[in-house]
Amino acid sequence: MEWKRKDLITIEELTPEEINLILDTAEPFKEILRRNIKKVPPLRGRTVLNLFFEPSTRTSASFSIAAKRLSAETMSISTSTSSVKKGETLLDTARNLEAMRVDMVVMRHSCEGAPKFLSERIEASVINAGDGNHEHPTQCLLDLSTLRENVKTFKGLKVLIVGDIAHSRVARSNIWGLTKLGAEVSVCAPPTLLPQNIEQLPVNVYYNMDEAIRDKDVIYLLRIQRERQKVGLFPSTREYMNLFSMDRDRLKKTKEDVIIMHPGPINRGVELDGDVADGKHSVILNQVTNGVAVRMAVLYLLNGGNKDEKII
Amino acid sequence: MKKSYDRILFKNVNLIDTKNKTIEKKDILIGNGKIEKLGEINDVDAKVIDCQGMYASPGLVDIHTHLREPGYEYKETIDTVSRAAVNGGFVAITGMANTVPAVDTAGTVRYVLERGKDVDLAKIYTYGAVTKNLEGKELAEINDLVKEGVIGLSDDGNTIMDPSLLLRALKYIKMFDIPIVLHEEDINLSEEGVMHEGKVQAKLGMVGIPDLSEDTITYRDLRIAEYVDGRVHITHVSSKNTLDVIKYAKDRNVKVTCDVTPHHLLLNDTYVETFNTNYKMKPPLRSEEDRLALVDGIKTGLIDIIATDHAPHAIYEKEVEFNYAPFGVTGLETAFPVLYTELVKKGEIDIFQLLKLMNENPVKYFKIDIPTRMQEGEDATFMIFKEEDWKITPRYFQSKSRNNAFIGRNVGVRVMFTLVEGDMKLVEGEIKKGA
Repeated sequence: MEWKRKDLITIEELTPEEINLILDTAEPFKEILRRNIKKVPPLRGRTVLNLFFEPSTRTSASFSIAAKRLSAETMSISTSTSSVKKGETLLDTARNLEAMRVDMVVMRHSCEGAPKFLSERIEASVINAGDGNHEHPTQCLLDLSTLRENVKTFKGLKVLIVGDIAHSRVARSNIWGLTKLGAEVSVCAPPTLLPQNIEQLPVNVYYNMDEAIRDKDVIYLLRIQRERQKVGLFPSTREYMNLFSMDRDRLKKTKEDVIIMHPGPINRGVELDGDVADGKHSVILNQVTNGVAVRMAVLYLLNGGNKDEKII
Repeated sequence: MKKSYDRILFKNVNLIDTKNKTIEKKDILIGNGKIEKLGEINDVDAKVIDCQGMYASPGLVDIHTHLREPGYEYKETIDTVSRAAVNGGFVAITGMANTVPAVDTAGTVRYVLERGKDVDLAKIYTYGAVTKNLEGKELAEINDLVKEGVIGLSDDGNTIMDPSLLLRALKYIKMFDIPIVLHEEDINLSEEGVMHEGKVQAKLGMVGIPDLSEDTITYRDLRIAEYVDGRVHITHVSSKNTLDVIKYAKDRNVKVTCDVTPHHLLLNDTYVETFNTNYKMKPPLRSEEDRLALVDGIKTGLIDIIATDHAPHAIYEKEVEFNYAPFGVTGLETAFPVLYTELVKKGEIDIFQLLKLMNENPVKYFKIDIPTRMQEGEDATFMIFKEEDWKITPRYFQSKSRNNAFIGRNVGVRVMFTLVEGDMKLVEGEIKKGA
């Protein structure tokens, strides 16, 4: 199958075949990343711009490394949303980028829909690196890629996502990605951290963590943002931890071969205990490694791939 | 007001008689600003316009328009909004008080009304502010505003959050016989919301505005109105639950009327998935279930009026991220074409019901001096339209702004002539020369 889209904006709009194409394309890149010389030529002469309107270390670094491994020229602009709000509009930014003949734009923005807005106004490919609470497609793809290394099939795979679902783009992308590939997704959170209309998403809902974790193959913990507590969505971090933290005791109640995931950066001791994060069930660092391979695959496919030549 | 006293004869028009609910082919003779004669008319000294296949009806009246002047002339002026009005078949529009300065003194009322007369296209009416500078703290000098001719009071976008203030205001205005128009939004519940909290919002992750923010405060305000026997009008009702509250109050004989906008009647929250900021307004587009309840409301008469909430914004203000765009869309020029196409032609309501909602009821409840029936001796203030398929594009707009939710729609009717007191303001779809 061939990749046809100009942009990667959401997982929701992708077909299972498109998702599998990206995951399959990432496999040889994983192999390349294990070599001594990790650079390959497909994006030679291409310019990839990282445009981050929200602070980010790992996603931005991961995209930069991915682009460099593919021999692209890369540039990063990070700017706080507030300063942009006062000055240049996103439309003007888009026009300027167009004028500079950039080939691809990796964009993170605190507003839902901002990457779509940009993609409709420039010819360059746009990759959504996280838009508000909406989607974070490459995070989902790297999670799927990591899971593929550890499970036989997605069909019937029981995945539990724990934490602030309402404000999580990672949760939304993963709910779409996992269900499209046949997994059964559940969420567990205090009701105040679930969207009001959670029944509209294809998930089972739990409030009780001990009950939720019992039969799951994968437990995916989301980062808890302390600001949510400040606006009164839960009374204290302590109470959140008592109810939802993946600690040693809870780990004993899971399936023996459970897989523990987290999009990072982790709050040790909050979403999960340090030794659970570092323990044998955790694939958290594999997620990070696969992030580079998956982003290489996305850049490669959006650039048109190379239908008849091999990658090197 | 300068008037053209030339006689005009519109030949072969299908005349919509709103009283008898009939449509009959007639000629209409206009002279001295009045409808001189209706019937078969030949051999008169008049400019003759053949209107074969066209329809004539009372002109449209809008009770919720943001004129933007004074203060926001870069969005709209009384000149451009008047052009937009007659382009859409409106013969009278009513300005909201949220200008800069606000319409909270006699001077501002006079300014707005005089500017309207100078422009001399549609008739311009205005609300006055309930509270000084729309701040929700102290009552404006309401007697001054009434003396200058406001047709009601409203702090529009700023909900009066203090219930005791609303209670005092409603009590006080009982001596003036005008209603208070309420934008119902409990800001503690809508907070930073940008779209309807529902099915689509759960997917998009944007901050939601629950319908609860509208219906709970509507209930509060209707109880206050009932308590003091005051008169209120609930503007741009957006949800089924709010309608239920209004129904409850009407059943208890509370003095309440309400309106709905064309966009809430025809669009729902799924449009927001495009992130197009022309679907961002307050109250937000709600669920399909809500939309159907609103359509039902205009059929049963629970909803009294259709109002546009014409809210122009400059292109650059709307061409931004959804979260950053201002709320509001224009409506004067698209209201009649989209409503006629989607509701009348599709058999949801008949033309008489549409005219009741857009002419008769606004005139009746807000005491606006516009005829509700075309008859001899009446002011020649009406519109003539024809059924014709065309597509709404930004080029069609006379408004200074382009933020319209119906751009790209195919519609089946076009307003051809708009007359105010015998003067043709819109002539064959073009604004009168020299205006």
